[in-house]
Order: sequence, then C-alpha cells, then structure tokens
Amino acid sequence: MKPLELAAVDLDRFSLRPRLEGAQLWVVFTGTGDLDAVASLAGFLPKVQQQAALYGVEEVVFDFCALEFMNSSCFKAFVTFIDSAKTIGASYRIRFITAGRHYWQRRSLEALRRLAMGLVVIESDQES
Amino acid sequence: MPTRSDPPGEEVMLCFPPRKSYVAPATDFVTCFCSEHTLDKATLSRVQLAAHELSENVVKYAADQVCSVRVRTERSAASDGPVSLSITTENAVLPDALRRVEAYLCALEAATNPDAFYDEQIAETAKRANGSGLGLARIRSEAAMDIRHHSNDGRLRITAFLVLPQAGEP
Repeated sequence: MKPLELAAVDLDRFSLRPRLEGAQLWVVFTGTGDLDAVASLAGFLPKVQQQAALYGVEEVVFDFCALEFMNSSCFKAFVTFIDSAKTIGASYRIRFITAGRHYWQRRSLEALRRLAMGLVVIESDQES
Repeated sequence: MPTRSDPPGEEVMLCFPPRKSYVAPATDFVTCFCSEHTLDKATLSRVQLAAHELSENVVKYAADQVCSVRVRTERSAASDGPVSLSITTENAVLPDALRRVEAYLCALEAATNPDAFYDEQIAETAKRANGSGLGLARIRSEAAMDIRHHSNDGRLRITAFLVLPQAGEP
C-alpha cells in the first residue's frame, strides 16, 4: 500500500498528525486551534477527504483528546468538511474522539453531529 | 457570609492594541479571574469559550488601535458567591461592518431558541467567503450565555453574561 500523501502540520501551538490504521484514517490533534491554526486546518481537511477517497477508508477519525480548544473559524473548516462529505455522498463515517476533561468538546461536536446525523459519530475517551 | 461592607462585585479590564498574540493572554486572564470565584470546571469552560471568541472578534474587527476586554462578577447580600458574571468587549468598527454586525446581533439576541439559531448559522457558514459568522452564536448556544450589545459613535460594545447557579440549585 502506498504511504499516506498527507503531511503532518506542526505549528507553535497546534499540530495535526495523520496516519492510516487499517480501514481508518486517523488525525491526532494537539494544542489550540486558534487564529494561527485556521489556514493550516482549512488546507489540511480537503486533503483528508482526497486521501480517504483514495484509500477507500471506512472511517475518518479525528482524535481531539489533546486538543485544548478550537475557535469558531476552525470549527467552520469542519463544517465545510462535513458538508462536502455529505454532498459527495462519502461512504466513510466521521468519528470524533473527545476528552471528558475538555468540557467544550461535547457541546461543540454535538452541533456538528446535528449537521450530519448518521455520518458523524462522537465518542468519549472514557467510552473507548 | 458576606456583609454590608462587601463590594457589590469585582471587575478587571484589559486594554490592548488589536494583535492576534493578545487573544490567548486576554482569554487566560478572564479565565483566571473567574477561577477565583469558585466556578465549577464546566462553567469555567463556558466562560473560556466566550472569552476566546469575543477577544478574537475585537482583534479581527478593530478599526483603531484600542480594544478592551472587561470581566465582571456581581454578588448580592443574600449570596456567598457571585450571582452573575459578564464579559464585555469594546472596539471601534468601520461603518459598513458595524451595520452588518448590529443586524446580526439583533437577530441573535431576538432568537428564542439559541441552538436553532446556531444550527442555521452552521448550515450557512460553508457558503460564507469571509469569517465564520459562528462565534457569537456559539457563545449563546454552546456557552449558554446571553448576549447584549450597544454602539455609540462607531464603537461597539458586546456583553456576554451568565447568571450563576447558587448553592442548592440544580
């Protein structure tokens, strides 16, 4: 199998680490998704979509356990990603792994789940 | 127990030029101030979200070199702790932008269902070329804080406030 054509993102206070694991494409988020992170994230997510299609993954998993905060502009990048996945009829599910200690994550991601019922799954680190 | 000599509240205010690098310190300062007022972690998380979104907005949309973030708690004689908390930002806004944001704020404040209003904004945001249009709606929905605004002479003041649950309340 070819390597994932998706480079990690490393900023001062924000990083994205992608990896392929069986039929899942994982992206591990670290740090704070603020104004400095918006452009990188908005450029990264469409590539996730391309790679997910290329490898025919069953699930794209966003691991937020080490993500301290995400602002509304980064949130918009996810809305665009999910909206696009809906539009193209993506065959993969989108799973978010949240950390119970980051209270904002459940509330924020619940709004994304409402946007695409059945496509978006939210899982707590305490459940896994 | 508080006495008559207790202050009616406490507040701090930060004034700074609109630089991205000041958003995180302003957010941290508001959160730190609130953590001194015996807020539980879940409530602090809501306050932090509101402080971050409001601080980013003043930095992004400031039309001059002065913006401010103020956090205030109020207490009553009948309560051990604060009964309400507010975060207020103020900055100069260009006339066209002020008209747009005031129209948005009026719609947000009038919305009887903050979650439904937020969902509408989420559904529309993918079509927006500039900005997400989500920050303030997110404060009302996710942080469950009410929003009020006031403008005067080209300066916009936005307040997010929260009535705090008192001991014994669910």
